[in-house]
Amino acid sequence: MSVARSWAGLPDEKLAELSAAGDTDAFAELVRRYQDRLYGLALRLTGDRQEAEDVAQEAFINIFRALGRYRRGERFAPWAYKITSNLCIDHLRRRRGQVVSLDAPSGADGEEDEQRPIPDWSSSPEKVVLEQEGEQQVLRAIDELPPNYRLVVLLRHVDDMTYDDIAAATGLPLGTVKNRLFRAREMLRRKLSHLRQGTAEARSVST
Amino acid sequence: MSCADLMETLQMYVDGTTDPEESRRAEDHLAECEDCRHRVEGWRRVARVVAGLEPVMAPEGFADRVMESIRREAAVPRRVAIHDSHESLTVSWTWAAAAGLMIALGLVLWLGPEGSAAANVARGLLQFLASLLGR
Repeated sequence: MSVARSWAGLPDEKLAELSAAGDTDAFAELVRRYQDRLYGLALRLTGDRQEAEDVAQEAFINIFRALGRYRRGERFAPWAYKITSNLCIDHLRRRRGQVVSLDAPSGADGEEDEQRPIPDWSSSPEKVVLEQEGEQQVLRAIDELPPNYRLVVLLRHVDDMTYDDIAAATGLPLGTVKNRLFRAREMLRRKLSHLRQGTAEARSVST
Repeated sequence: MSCADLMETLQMYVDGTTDPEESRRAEDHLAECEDCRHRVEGWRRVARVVAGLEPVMAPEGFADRVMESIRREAAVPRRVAIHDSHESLTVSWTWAAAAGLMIALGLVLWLGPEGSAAANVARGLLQFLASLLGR
């Protein structure tokens, strides 16, 4: 009978080293720790649950294959995010047939398109229709950001990454990260200026 | 200092990454600039609403499906590049040796007396090598 190993307290970096040495149980723990975050990033970038699952699964397989290049002592989170975000951006590029710039707004000609469906970011299929009007507006506003801007704002505010970690997770120079974050915040600030108090804000204040 | 000059400092101020001197500069500017006060409040609001979105969870069984693929892949022995190059090097030497031997036998046939035992052996060996190489 096999005894379950306890990974509690073991840092991600140690698990990555064990995984690189062929310990698939250690990698299973990394998958457990990162599945919500990487799937969440894929969902928020692609806006489609099935595509997000496919991309996140491919991302974990790519991470596993790349472990041979993982440098001892390198922080695991930005490294894993970089593989995932590159994959998401590649998927978006392929989906759009490289016609639409990843720096351009998602809406046609930068105009708000009321006919576009609101992205389904909910974790359960039953919650396809989001309950709160405010949350819908936030989702739509983020979805309308150009993907490259959406990525930095999500890494900053959802994943709570520092500027340095965002730079590592995107492969962008620090100055570009700050610039994109500034522009993304300005776009969102304008879009959300009429949002009623409460709704999504209430949840963040209470936590 | 103009608003544009302070934009990066203000952004870092909102993110809580300014040092005391930068914080003081940001606060002094905010005290006298209404536009930047609105901007900074707007950025803080953006941070709150984005961070306050419903948390996303991976679908049921996602980790198991990932690990199923990983374990399947890990079970397949990997071909090591250095082994491949060694193997191809060995094959190359075999071909070179065979070609050299054929040339030597050809010379024996060409220079040796017709019908001699050496010529007959050389002809036999050449036919054998040619049949091997022709496979």
